[in-house]
Amino acid sequence: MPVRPALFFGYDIIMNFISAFVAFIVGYQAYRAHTITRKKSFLALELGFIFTGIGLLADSILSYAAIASRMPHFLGVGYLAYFISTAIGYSLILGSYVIDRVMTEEAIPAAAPIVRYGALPESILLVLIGVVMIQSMINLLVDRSPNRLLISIAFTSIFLSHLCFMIQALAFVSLLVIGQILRFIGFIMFAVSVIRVVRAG
Amino acid sequence: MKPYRSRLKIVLDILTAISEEGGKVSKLLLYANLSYDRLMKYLKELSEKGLVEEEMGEYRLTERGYRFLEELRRAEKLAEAFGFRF
Repeated sequence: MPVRPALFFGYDIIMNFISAFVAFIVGYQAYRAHTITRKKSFLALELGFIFTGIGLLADSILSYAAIASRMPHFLGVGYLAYFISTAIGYSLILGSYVIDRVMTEEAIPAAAPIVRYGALPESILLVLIGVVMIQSMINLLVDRSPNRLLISIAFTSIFLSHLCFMIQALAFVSLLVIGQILRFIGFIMFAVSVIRVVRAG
Repeated sequence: MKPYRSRLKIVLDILTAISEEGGKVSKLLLYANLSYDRLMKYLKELSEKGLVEEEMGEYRLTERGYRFLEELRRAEKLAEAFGFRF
């Protein structure tokens, strides 16, 4: 039985909100690490997760505003903000690896979600997060630690979520639900990793 | 060939050694794996920053030093999780 995205609408706002919160926590941890070490890779990671969090937060707030005010055009604005901020965020996260190597995040019609995710912007985000995912997998192969495994699973889940968003924009709408869940799982993995890091202190 | 150890890693090793092994220079030399001159240079710098203090020839972490060590360990774990060099 195909999943009906309309039934999922609302839950995605909550998941995006929680994911944004996790992104800000990761950003905060990176900020602390940057303060103590002055490593620019941590600064890029911090800004990357802050931009990713802002994108997710803007999307969830504007999606809620669209439902509350019954003004569906907010969805488009929310998606634009999400796309721009997430693209900057992923670029910065990717940049953190480059820096590290070079220098030693009711009344809405059922069709609304289709409008929100575009194949082209999602493919751009897919490429950006894809490179980050590959880097995290290489890191895992070099040293198979539990934290690296969690980060690798997180980036892989987010990569797969953008793949789902891209395909659903073209054909299978039900992939939107799977994509949202995958992205949520990705950010939960980041949260688990950060909890482990904080406990290690 | 010896693996490269960054300045941050050396500082972390010295502070961990003082915290866990006690602050005798002989023990620190073994634990931190540094020459005497280099170890003393680092200890002088850490003392000037208020992270360690010397008393009767033994070094110990100050309150600020313990906080710094805690943050440095977290930063190392975060770097390790994301695959950054530390």
